[in-house]
Amino acid sequence: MRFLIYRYDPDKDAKPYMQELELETIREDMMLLDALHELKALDESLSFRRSCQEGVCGSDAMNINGRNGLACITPLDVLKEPVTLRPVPGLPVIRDLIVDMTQFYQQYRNVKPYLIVHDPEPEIERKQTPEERDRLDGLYECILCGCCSTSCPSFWWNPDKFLGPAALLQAWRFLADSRDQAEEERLEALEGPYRLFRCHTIMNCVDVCPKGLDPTNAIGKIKQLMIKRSI
Amino acid sequence: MSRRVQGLDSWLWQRISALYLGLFLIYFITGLLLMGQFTYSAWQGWILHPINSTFLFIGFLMLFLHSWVGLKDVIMDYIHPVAIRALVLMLSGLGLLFCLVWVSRILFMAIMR
Repeated sequence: MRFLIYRYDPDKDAKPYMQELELETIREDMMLLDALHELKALDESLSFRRSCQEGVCGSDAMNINGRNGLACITPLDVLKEPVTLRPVPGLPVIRDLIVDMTQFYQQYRNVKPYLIVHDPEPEIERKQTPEERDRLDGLYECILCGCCSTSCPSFWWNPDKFLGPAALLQAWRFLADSRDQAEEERLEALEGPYRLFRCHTIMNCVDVCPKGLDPTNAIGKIKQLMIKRSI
Repeated sequence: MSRRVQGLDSWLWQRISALYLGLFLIYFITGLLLMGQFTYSAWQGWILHPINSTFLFIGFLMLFLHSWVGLKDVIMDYIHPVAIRALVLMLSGLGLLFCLVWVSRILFMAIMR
């Protein structure tokens, strides 16, 4: 199977180039990450991130044949040859398939992704009804792999000002949480032309999310809440 | 445009104007189909009807509002240097305003005739 892989080592290369590599034997149940491990055995300078190898940690997000995804849960047999691998678009490349996620995490930090409670600490846990808990389904599962934000044109053009789908999904996750008491501040922080409203419902985020989550829907819910609050 | 006309307000007006334009288009096409014969006087009669001309004028207002929000979005996405952005925003705003005044003048003159 033929591979075309984006290579760039800022210490050695003047500019990035595409390297052709080939794997002779392909097992039927192989995931792309398995292939990458074998390719690294052929050329040990090839660099990529990976950890859990089962779609939970979100560290091996990359652009696979033009589409963002996790190498560890992408079966090899569905991929067209040559399999073209690039780092996820829109973020600075550190080396080969490894990108600098600082900006992505910064936007995540900006939405204050934790419960804000003004009441005094309760003696027991903060309880929720099953219905209240259900509202968090489809939101809490995000693994912060960055596939969505780095496939979003609005995030490419304004990564410093637009929060991006991943952060906005989390913004809604805490707005939707019955235990959170900072609705007003959270909505206030999302106003303005950039932070939330650069989203033009392109829906690349929904298309690529390896966990099947729907940031566009979450963004719509935030807008609905804003309208409810302002009328 | 006030400082508040951004974010939620822009987005909301984009939806409202789209909805109006959609409904108006249906109304307009129905009006044309009910006209019977497509003559200049039938067309003039339609336009001169107070309800039609009012709907039409609001339609143009909504069209320019919708274009302004859309243009502003595209400019904000793609033009980053502040000076050029301000210039392009100003030129598009003035261009739209020019068209709006012009179309108002045409409609007004048609009604006054």
